[in-house]
Amino acid sequence: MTGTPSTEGVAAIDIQHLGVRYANGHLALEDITLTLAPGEVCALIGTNGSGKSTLCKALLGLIRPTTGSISVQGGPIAQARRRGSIAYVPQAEDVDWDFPVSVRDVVMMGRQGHMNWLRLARRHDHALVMAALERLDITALADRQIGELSGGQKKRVFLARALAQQAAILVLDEPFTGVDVGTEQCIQSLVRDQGREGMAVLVVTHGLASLAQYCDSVAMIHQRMIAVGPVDTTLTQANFQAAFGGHPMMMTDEAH
Amino acid sequence: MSLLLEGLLLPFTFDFMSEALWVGVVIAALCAWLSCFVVLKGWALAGDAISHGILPGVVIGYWLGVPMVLGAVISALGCVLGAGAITSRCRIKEDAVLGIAMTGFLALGLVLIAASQSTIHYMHILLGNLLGVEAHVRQQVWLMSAMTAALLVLKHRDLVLYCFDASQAAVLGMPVARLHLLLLTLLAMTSVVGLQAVGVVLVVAMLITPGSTAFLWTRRFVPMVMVAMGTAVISVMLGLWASFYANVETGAAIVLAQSGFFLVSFLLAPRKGVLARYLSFRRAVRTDRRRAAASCTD
Repeated sequence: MTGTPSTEGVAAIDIQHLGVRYANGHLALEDITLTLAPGEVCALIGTNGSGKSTLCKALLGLIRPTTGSISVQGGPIAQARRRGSIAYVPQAEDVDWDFPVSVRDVVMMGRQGHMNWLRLARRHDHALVMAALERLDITALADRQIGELSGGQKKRVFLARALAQQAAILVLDEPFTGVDVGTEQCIQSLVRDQGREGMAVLVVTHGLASLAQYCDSVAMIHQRMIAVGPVDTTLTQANFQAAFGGHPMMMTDEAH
Repeated sequence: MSLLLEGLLLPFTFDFMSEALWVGVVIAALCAWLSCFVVLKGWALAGDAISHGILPGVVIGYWLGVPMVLGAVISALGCVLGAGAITSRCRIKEDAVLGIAMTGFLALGLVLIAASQSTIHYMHILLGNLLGVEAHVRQQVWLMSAMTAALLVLKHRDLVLYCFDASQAAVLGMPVARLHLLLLTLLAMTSVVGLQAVGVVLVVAMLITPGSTAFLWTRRFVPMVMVAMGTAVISVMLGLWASFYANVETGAAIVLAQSGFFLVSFLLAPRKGVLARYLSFRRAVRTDRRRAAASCTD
């Protein structure tokens, strides 16, 4: 990956005993430990309100942990952000689709951290934007305003932005909600390819059926970490119950 | 035809009118530019708070003899950031807190004006006085407009990204808090400039209306700024004609013209206007019916 220091043997993402409490007193996360090696694709699953989005935000540096630590490529998040190492794809409802920007404009926003202080796009930036548009099969839509796209196309635009950024870490917050089957498969193959090229990917998802096809590992959380590990050994009945059914807090012992 | 043209140009053969035109055009274009950010960021109420929040600072700046923009920026930031600080620590909703803050600052400004018993033209600050902008104020307008425009050009990409997707800006390591402060400061500076034309009471119109009008006509950011500037500049001309020929308050006439542009756009803008949307709905329904009828006869 461009612009990243030597990462031999260093975890792409290293979350240790992370806890997040919001200002209103709500405890969103408690004692979360999760590490991703470069090239590892990890699914993050849990019920609504289990703290998945909070974990993403903490990883992106958008909220400050109250306890524990997060390091990205062996250093603090702020450094990784300035290197442009972290890319994210927002949830569809967090985007203002009426905003007067074209598909190309949005994808170019992935390059913005790499531009000099005048923020002029160079030939290299344009080339990467074109390549990302092509990879996601939306070249023909480049000059459309983003609101004029279908749900799947909208998602592809933001994936293209993350791709153009050439980050080492990608955070996808529920990329499969409201998209067609074709886009879902496109996203999954993209994620797998990026993993092979060394990108660490954290995918928040509700779709459990195809996890094994594109993920190396899965983390199941419900405020605390219920279970984490390879997909086939972790996605067990007992863990699933602990994460999604009954009283998760009482069942954490069973999960260990 | 030439008679009409003569009638249109005649007012600007007078020095005070042509000066008013130049100052007004610059002010309107600048406010229109900022208004695009205000509208897209959903900051109409914050813009209102800033434009009223400048008043105490303007008056105190006048007393102390410092450039009024200095006092204005400090006082506007105090108003908006103070309201923000209260909102995050209080269960009252943001719009109510902003309302309290801006009316409080406006009232404080009025009290200060009354207490000063100086030569400040009370009505000029409240309602603007485009036809009588003093030379030293005019210089401040040029200077502040140039500074604001330069910052908007330099920070264009970052400000657009900040308005569109503040999280992405943060994830790219941009100083989001500083961009936020920059936008607030630019708004305060522009309000000071704008109040010369339409006064403290109406300046917020210049910071909301052109951007909203332009939003209805365009699909890209730069064209949106251009259309906003266009309608704002034409509104200044209409306002000046109205005050020349019909002796109408200039500031009020300018704002009224801008409101008119918005109303017409709401009705007639292609794609986003009500008429266009209704027609495209009717077209779709006709196609649906034709298709339904075809499938019945099959």
